[in-house]
Amino acid sequence: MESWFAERSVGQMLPGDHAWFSYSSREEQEHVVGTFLRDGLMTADKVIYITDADAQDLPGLRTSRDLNPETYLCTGQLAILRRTDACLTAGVFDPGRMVASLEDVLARAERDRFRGVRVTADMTWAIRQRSGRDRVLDCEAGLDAAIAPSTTAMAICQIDRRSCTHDELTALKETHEVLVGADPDFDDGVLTITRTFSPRGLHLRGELDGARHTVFAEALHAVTALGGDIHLNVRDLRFIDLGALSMMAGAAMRMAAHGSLILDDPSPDLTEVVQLVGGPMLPWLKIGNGEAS
Amino acid sequence: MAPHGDSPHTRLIHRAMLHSDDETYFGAAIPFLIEGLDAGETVLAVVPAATGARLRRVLGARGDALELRDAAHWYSHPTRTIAAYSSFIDDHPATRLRALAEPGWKARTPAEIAEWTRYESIVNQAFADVEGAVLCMYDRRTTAPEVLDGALRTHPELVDDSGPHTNDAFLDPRMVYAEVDRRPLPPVPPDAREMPVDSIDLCALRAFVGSHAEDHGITSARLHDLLVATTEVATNAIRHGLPPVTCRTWTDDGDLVVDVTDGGHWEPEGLPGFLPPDPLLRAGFGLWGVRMLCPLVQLRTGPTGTDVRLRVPPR
Repeated sequence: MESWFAERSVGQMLPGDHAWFSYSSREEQEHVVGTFLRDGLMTADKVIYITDADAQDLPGLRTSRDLNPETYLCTGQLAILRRTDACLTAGVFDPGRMVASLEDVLARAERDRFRGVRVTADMTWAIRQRSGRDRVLDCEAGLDAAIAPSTTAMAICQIDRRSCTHDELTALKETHEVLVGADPDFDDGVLTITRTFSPRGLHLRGELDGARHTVFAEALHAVTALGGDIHLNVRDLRFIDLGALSMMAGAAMRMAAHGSLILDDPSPDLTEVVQLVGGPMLPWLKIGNGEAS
Repeated sequence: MAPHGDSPHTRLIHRAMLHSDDETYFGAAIPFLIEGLDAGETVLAVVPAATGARLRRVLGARGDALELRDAAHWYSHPTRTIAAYSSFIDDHPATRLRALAEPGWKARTPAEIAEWTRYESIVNQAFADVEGAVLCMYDRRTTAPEVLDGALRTHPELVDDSGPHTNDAFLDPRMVYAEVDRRPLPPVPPDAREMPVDSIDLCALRAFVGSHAEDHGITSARLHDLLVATTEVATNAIRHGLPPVTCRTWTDDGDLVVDVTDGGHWEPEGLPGFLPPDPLLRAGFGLWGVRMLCPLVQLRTGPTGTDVRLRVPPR
C-alpha cells in the first residue's frame, strides 16, 4: 500500500496536525518532544503535557539550561495534566474522558487568547493496559476529530516502539496523518543534516562539499562523541567531496576502539569512489545497509 | 611496506626487456618466474589474460603459487597502477617480491605516453626500498616507438639474450619527472566554455561541468568521478591558490578537458599525488584522489599561476 502519511520534522508541524511519534530511546524522545515543547514555550503557545511526570522531568526540558519550566507553569503557559484528571476512570484509560479533556483545554486556550496550542502525551502506558490497544485506537479517532479542524492546535501522540508489537504500531500509525521526526541540525537548501536514533547517527541529504565542511565536522564530532557504532545514512546524498570523505575516515579511525563508522546505503557511484579513493582508509570506514550491526 | 618518494638506496631491481617474438619473451619470463617460485618468493605476473593462461600451462604445478593479474585492468591508468602495486606489496610483507609485468598500455596521445613513461620512472623512486625484482616486457612489434624510448629512459637495467646489463640510457627519475611537466600545455581553444569560480560553494560548478560532460556522452559513474575530481581541484584552488579561479571546458581529440586555473604560485614537492597517502596522516589525499579518479591529470605551476587540467576520454 502506498503511504499516505505526511512526514514532517517537528519544527515544520502545522496547526491541525495530529502527529504520531514513535521513539526507541529516551535520547530520541528528548530530542523531538523537547523541540516541540521548547518551540511552543519560546513562541508563546500554550503547551499541555498529559503525564504524571514532574515538569523538570519532561523530555528535553530537564537538560535545558536556558528554559525553566517552573516559570512557564506559574504563568499558565505550560500546563501538566495528571492522568487521573485527564483520562483515567477507576484507574483505566478512558478514551471518552481523554477526548473531553482535550476539547476542554483547547477551548480554554482559545479563551485565554493563546496564538497556538500544543498538546502531547506518551500513550505507551495506556496501550499496555488490558484492552489498551483498542481503547487507544478509539481515542485517536476522537483526538483527530478535535485537532484536525483546528487552526491553532497541534498534537503529538508518543509511543515507545520497544514496548509495542509490529501490528500494534501499524494500527496506531494508521490513525495519524502526520509522522513527525527530528528537525535537521543543519539545512541550507543544499545540504541537510539530521540526527538519527535507530540506528544512531546522521542522515545526510543533498550535496556535501567544502562550503559545508565546518558544519559537517561539528555534527560528526557531536554524534561520534556519543560512542558506539555510528551510522551515516547517505542514501539521499547526491554528492560528497574527498575532503568530507577524508573527515569521515578520520573520525572512523579516532573512534575505532569504541565502535565503527558505517556509511549506509551509498549510491553505486559513491560506493565506487569510496572503494577507489577510500582504499587506504578502509577498513575503518564501513559500508552498510541501515541495519544496526 | 609503504612506498615513498626519495630513497638514497635502491633495493628494487627494475629491468626491461624489449623483445620481438614470443620465443624470446617466454625464454626470459619463464626462468625469471621459476627462479622466484623455487626460492619461495612472492611471484606476481601482470600480463594479458591469454599470456597468463600460457604461463600457467608451461609452469604446471610449479606455478601454483604464481599470483596472476590481468594487465588490462591493472594498467588502467598510472596512479591506479601504483596503488595496485602498493597494495599488493602491503599484502605481502614477509617475503621478497618478484614481478613479471607486461604494461601494453593503450596510450593514444603524446600526453598519455609521457605520463606512462613517467610512471615507469616513478616506480624506481616509489618502490626503491622494496626487496624484489620487476621485469617489464615490451613488444617491439606492437609498441609505439615513443613508448619504447620511454622504457629505455626509465629502467636502470635491460635484459637481452645475454642476460641483464646496466642501461646507459637510464635517466635520473627526477629529470624524467620534471621533463613531463616542463612541456607547456596546449593553449585553451577560443571556443572553450568558461566559468569564474569565486566561492567554495561549488554546486554551480558541478552543474556547469556536468552539463558539458553529459553533452559529451560522459554519464553515470564516469561523470560522478569527474565531478568529484573537479570539485577537489577547485576546492584546492579556492583554499590554497589566489584569485581569479577559472574553470574552462572543451573537447580535444575526442577527450573532454576540464581546466582549472588560479593565480597562486604552488611549488609541489616530491611526487605530488602519485603515491597512496598514509591513512594515519590523512594528508595528500586530495590530489592523489583526483589522479585516481581521472585518467589523465596535468599539472603546471609557475610564478603566474597554477593550472590543473583533467582529461577524460569519450569511452
